[in-house]
Amino acid sequence: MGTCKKITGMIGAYVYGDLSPDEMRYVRLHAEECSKCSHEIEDRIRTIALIPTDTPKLTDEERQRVMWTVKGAIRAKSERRGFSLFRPTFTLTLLLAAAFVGGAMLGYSKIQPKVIVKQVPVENRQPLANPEKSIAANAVPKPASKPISVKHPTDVSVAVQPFVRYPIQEIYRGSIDREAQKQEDPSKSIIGDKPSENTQGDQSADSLGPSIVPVPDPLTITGTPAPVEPQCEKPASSDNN
Amino acid sequence: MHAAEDDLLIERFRAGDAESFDRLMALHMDQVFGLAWSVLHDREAALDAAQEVFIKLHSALPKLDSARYLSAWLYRVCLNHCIDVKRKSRNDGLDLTEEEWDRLQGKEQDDPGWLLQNHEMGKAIRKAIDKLPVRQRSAFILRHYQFLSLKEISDTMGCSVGAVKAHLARATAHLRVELSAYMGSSVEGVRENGNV
Repeated sequence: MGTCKKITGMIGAYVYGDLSPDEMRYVRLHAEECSKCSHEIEDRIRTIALIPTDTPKLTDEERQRVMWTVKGAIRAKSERRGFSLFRPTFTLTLLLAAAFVGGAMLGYSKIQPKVIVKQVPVENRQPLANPEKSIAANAVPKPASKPISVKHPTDVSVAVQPFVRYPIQEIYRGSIDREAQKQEDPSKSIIGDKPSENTQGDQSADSLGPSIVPVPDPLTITGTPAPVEPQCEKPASSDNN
Repeated sequence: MHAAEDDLLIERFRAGDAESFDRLMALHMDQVFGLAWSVLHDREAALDAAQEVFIKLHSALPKLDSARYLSAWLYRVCLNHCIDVKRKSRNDGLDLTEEEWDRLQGKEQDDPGWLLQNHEMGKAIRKAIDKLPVRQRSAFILRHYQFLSLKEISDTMGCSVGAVKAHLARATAHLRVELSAYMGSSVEGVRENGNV
């Protein structure tokens, strides 16, 4: 009986002929003597014979389909992998670029002079003082090495140092009678200078094209350091003041 | 089977030759498809399984130790994949595909009895194989459909040759019981003897 149990464990390989020659002979000799094992072997051989061993064959079309599908999947996979590797770098680059642009915009907004144009009501409008004299009185003297040349009395240019805020002061040239204004209240000169008696300057100012001329705030200009002074060009004749 | 050629193709693939992978696929496509079909008994499902196996092979090929294990690797991955598919699918796999119907009808169109009998027998065979435990089913399919030796089966399944023998013995005993109606012999005695 012990031999039958041993044989039973080998029958599966025996029916396929997979045992070694010695094992095959051992099973065959036992089956000749044991009818039960012999019957079992016959049944299993018939069972296996029932089950077809052939598998369907691939057609050329199916073969091509499998190959193309596999290639496409591999390509898509490699592309996804490439994108996923690129993605953190791309995100980091994007963040850095955004930070750089934001910082640049913030810095630009700080260095950009703020231009304030005040709308002065008509009744409060001040007569135009002599712009050349007023500016010259408040401006920091220019170094002697740089001669100032002005082609026209109204040709006023202001060199603005960055980071220094110069509000634009409005100079209004109205149709107010300047002489009458001076007599009423000479101290209303917007620049604080005495009104010039030189009418030529007024006439020159009247001949200016734009009605609003930006000039530096005298108070601000006074407080600025010497090397970064606003440079006012004025006629050479008044430079010696 | 193609060990020498596999070795060469794997080396080329590792060197960057993409065409060598196509050649590898062409060499092993029949065996992978046949194994997948023998588990799934469905042509389209077997094609899908073959595709999945080759996609996995492309990822695993750089890490594969040697071409000697390529066939075993393919069989093992294909078997595991197909068994997973079978487990997940609700289909009991008892219905014949169109192709199988055509084949059966083409053989014996004049004998409906033969067709019915073989149709039912085909269903019973699949049912019997599907009812086998996974290890027994794998060993039986690899031996019966793929004609692998015990050593190759043991390499594929990662077990000893003795274990493969035992799996085969139990599988054939189960099949004998399940298919006894089609053999015309009683298996009651076998049941009583505890061989199943």
